[in-house]
Amino acid sequence: MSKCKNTECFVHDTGKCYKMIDPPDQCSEYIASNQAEPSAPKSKTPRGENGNSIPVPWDGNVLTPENIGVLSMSSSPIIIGLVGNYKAGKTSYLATLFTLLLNKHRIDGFQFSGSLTIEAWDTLAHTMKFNPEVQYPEPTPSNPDFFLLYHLKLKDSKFRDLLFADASGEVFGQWAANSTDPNAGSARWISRNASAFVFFVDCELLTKRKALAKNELLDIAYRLKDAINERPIAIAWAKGDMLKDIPRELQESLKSDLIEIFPHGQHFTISSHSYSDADQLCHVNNIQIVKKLLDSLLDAPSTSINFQVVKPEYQDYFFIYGESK
Amino acid sequence: MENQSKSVLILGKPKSAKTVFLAQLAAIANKGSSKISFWKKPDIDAHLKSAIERIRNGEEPESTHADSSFQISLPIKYNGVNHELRCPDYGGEQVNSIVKFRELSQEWLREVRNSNTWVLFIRLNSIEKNFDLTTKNPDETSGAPSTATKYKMSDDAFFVDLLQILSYAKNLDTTAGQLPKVVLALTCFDEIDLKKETTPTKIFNDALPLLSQFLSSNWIADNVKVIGISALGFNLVKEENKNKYIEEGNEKFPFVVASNETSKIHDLTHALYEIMST
Repeated sequence: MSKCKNTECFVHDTGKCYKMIDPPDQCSEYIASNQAEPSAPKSKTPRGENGNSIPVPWDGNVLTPENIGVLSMSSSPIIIGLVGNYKAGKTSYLATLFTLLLNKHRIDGFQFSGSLTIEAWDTLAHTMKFNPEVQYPEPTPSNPDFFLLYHLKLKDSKFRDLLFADASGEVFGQWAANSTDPNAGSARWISRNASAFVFFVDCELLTKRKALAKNELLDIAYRLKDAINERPIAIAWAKGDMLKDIPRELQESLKSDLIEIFPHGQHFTISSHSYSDADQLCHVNNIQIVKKLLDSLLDAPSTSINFQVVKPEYQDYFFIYGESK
Repeated sequence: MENQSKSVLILGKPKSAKTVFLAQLAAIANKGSSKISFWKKPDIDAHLKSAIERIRNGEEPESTHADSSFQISLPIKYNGVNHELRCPDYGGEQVNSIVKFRELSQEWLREVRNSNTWVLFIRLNSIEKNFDLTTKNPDETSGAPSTATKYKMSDDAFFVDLLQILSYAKNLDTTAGQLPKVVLALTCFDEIDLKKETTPTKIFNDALPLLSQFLSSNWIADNVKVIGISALGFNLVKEENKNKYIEEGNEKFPFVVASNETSKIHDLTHALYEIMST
């Protein structure tokens, strides 16, 4: 049975590579069936000169806690933790963000300066194309210790490395119920290490499951409230074109609860859909979330985040760090 | 007069007209202007000789084989100084491979490290632009392709990644001022529907916003330039175009458009001037 060298990858079950490499057998960690150990990668040298090539230390795909060191050696990244239930729109938000950047939209005051995960971003953006129909991104795999980090380098007066942390929605529900749940490692990591958060409110789910959806959401919000301290948070009312279909009282009561839970939070209504060339929910608000979070972070007294590699809590590297002023 | 050696690395995907450009330049080496000229006739290899012969007959050269690489040295005089401008030519697939397989051969590493100017050949007409959710109303059905196309990296992301890889290989910090100069040559410029007031710089910023910002963030403005090049002047598919070449000569039709201009300069050596003066 084919599988992955990495025990956190469930390709043998799901058929999907945890690094989102497609097809999965192209991943360097893939072990095809009947193979004891993966063979050395075939020589892919452009000119095949004795296989004597210099590899590039990053592959353009998502970063994971295992390989985050390729970034952390040079900078203190700003980690934006995406928090929300299953299918709330976290990954779609990232796909929309990069699609907007590809279409000349800009984060006001910042220039795009590069990315170590540019292929991952680009693949996400591809899922938002009419091809002929829109695929939307695949749900993020729900492995407990696994989450995806999308790198975005921006420049204002200096370079800023942003890492968007995208974990599966299921882990947040588990973490909300029990903060020490062994299956909720990625949620714990994000809650501890993010510089700022985007909390996703799924407007579509609220229209369908009403108070049930609201309460599941608030479970997560209350758990996050205990962890957040003064860190900036944006509350993203996702699939915002459906906001008007949420029963008014429900919407107002939820909003008022969230304001109480996160008094310093900023609310945004967002959508991946655009209905005009200057669609507020799509073209403006998605980007405003990043802009406002950065404004809050960069106005604050400077904190630098130092990465230290420590003995892994799990089988893979698990980076923890301390804040220093 | 001492000859100076400057190495220009032309980077482009397959069918971005690298060989056509070099062949046309070699073929018109007796031309030039006061700004830039050839101080002797260049020596060319069989690959370019064959390309020139085809062009003179109104035919596009054959694509450079994926695994091939050639060297050409262009003896140009610029600012009163004689230069030997080294331009390697190679199959465009190799550039695709660098990004796809994340490796640089020793030969590529040498070229990257020895070059002081990188010229990116980008054929804008080959950039696919599908509608996505941010550019089309989800309720509309028109305009989408009828069958799904497999994922192909966007040109914007591709060229950013390529430059990231090459900069890494050059083993330099991305501190402005230490990187090679970059010239973005928008090739097959004749394919672009030129409206009034549209300059190569504006066209580039519009078409490849991420690459544009990436360069602007990581390079000094003076070290980056965008030009338009049409090495053939028009495509050679139509019979009447082929005949123009045969009857009037291949040197007449190529043109270059400078960064912030709209007018065509019918002198391909002007592209060399733009590269040298970056």
